Amino acid sequence: MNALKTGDIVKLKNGGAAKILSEFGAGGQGTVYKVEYEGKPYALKWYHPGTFNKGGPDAAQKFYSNLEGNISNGPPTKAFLWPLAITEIRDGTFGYLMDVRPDGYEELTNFFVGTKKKPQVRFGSFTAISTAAINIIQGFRELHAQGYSYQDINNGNFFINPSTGDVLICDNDNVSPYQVNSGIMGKQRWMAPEVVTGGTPDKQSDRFSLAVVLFRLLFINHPLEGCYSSPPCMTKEAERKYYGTNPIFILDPMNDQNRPIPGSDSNLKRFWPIYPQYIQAAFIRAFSHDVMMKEAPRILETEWLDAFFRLRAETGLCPICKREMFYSVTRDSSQCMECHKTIHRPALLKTSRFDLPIVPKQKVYLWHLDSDRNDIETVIAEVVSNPKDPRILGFRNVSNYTWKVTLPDGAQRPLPPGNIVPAKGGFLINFINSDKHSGTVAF
Amino acid sequence: MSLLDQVAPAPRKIMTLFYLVDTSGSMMGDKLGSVNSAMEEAITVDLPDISSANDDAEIRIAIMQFSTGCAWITPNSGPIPIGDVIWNDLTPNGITDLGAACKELDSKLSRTGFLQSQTGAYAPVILLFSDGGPTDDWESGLKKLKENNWFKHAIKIAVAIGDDADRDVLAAFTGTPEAVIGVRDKQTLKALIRKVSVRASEFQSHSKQSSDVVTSAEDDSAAIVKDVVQDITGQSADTSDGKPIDVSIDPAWGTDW
Repeated sequence: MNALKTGDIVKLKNGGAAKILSEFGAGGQGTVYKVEYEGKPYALKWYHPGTFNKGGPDAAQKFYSNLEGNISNGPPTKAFLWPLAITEIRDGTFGYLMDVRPDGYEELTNFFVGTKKKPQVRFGSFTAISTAAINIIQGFRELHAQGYSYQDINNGNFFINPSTGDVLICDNDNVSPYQVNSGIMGKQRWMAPEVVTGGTPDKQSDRFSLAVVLFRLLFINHPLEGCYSSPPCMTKEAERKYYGTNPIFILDPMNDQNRPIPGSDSNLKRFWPIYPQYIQAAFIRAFSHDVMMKEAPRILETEWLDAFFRLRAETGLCPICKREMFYSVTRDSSQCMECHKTIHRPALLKTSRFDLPIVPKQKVYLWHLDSDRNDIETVIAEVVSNPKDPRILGFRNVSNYTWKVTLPDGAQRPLPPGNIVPAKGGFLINFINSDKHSGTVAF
Repeated sequence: MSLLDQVAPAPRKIMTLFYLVDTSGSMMGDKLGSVNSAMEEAITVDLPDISSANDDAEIRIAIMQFSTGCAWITPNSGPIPIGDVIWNDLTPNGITDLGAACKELDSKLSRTGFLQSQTGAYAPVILLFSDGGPTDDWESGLKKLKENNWFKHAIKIAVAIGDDADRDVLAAFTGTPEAVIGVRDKQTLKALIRKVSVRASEFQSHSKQSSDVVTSAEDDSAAIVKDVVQDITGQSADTSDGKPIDVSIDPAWGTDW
């Protein structure tokens, strides 16, 4: 047997050694073990012998070198469960060490299907969905910015905390520098058409897969699987056609050939109509014929980030039913998707990039003010209610900067960190230091 | 209740796993005993995990025994979800009517038979276990079955139990001798049934990896066999002579057939 046993010692290339404690689970490419290294628990992915045979005589060596390079470069963002150390080659195969996945994260697959033993996982809030989307998009943005492409994106790669939307991206061993094919290709259902038909995965094909992941986060169903693409028997040739040579989006406004299969479309019926037009439009573009077939550019990560930062900002509690709703910032009123009551548009904070509804708990992120800084985490301001009269809202300065507030009469006041300025019409707040980092309160 | 509580499962395709088990009198004893316990473990322990952690397809199962004539052990109405199978041991009796089994399988490999699914299906996996040679007109039954498009695309693997199994017949069924595995001891047989059930179902119930070469169902079946044999014996299977592959980890361990 080529498998490792409890108690086995595996030597690492860096001179250390890891001891096998137990098996976490096995997959198509390898087995994951719980190991001890320098007194701490880690996960060890150990490849099945022969995993790289299909890629030619030096495929395993190439894969090994690529993995070594990735380890020395380090992870693109904290969302990546990145390879930390590589083992020496043993009996013709090898493995790598990574951190153990913390509790609270669920595999993306479990958001799609469940069983009696392990029920389907559901997001706790629409805010968590947007946050998960933002984390996944930023992961790929940083990966691409560092010259890598992911190559094998599918539902087994993502672990998400359903309450917070925090994301861990796993199986990063297939990550490769541009123009380098790791030899491991993804599942057709998640691959870009040009990869299904034999092309090399790259940044552009990652972007297609990203759109599939995002669509399924929101709508569960697969964007390309409808009446046309569900033949009685899905053969390899058929898969190649429906995901490769002639894919059709189930909600393509220009082509109704592949509409959802009646009876299996409840998620689409329920969720597609509630999302704002700009979200629908982004998916319609991402899965339009021209974009899928690379006759028009794929949606960039920064475009997706803007869409989901906007969506998260427009998500607030309905003042009547207290459940989440999407506030329109362009119309005078919105309908709560839960209680269906008509809700008037709240006051807005108008920045150079976004109009944010001023509702309790709203957070103004640095991204809302300035995307050049490549920061999706930093919160600049939080909307708080006045304890004496909750109808009166204000911005709490949660940044490290002293804001400059300009009143309608032209008077200027500094607002140090921790302090609150009421959200009054005409107030102009300079959150950081340049004009582009300011916002005006508008009723 | 919030809208998010109403999220429904993603629609999945169906992948049906067919077991065709020879329950003729010669299977009596260790052979059928091993088949029974390995199938029970595969069906109740191994496969439900694959099906539940699989967003591509749901695995369903249909089991036929053939001896004098043939009969479905699972309901005649069609395959059942993998988690719902309650195993009843198969009992040996009679002769080996493989031809009848082929005809019956052919009649069910259709959309109006066992393979109806609104959301579509992947081609099935068909696993055949036998320890002897057919006693009826198997050739006409198999000829008809081989014209069935579902059968053509199916993963077909046969396990030849003991020395008396007619491997040429089994190779005719699978379409290639490389998808026939010979086994002579009960320990190996049990390991084999579990692993081949898992590996074949895993392969066939998932969206395929792309590759430059489009391989046939026979190539895929042979590759699965090679994998499983390597897994059990720790050695690469030698298929260069075009003969069926034998696995026996430790013949002395079990009953010598």
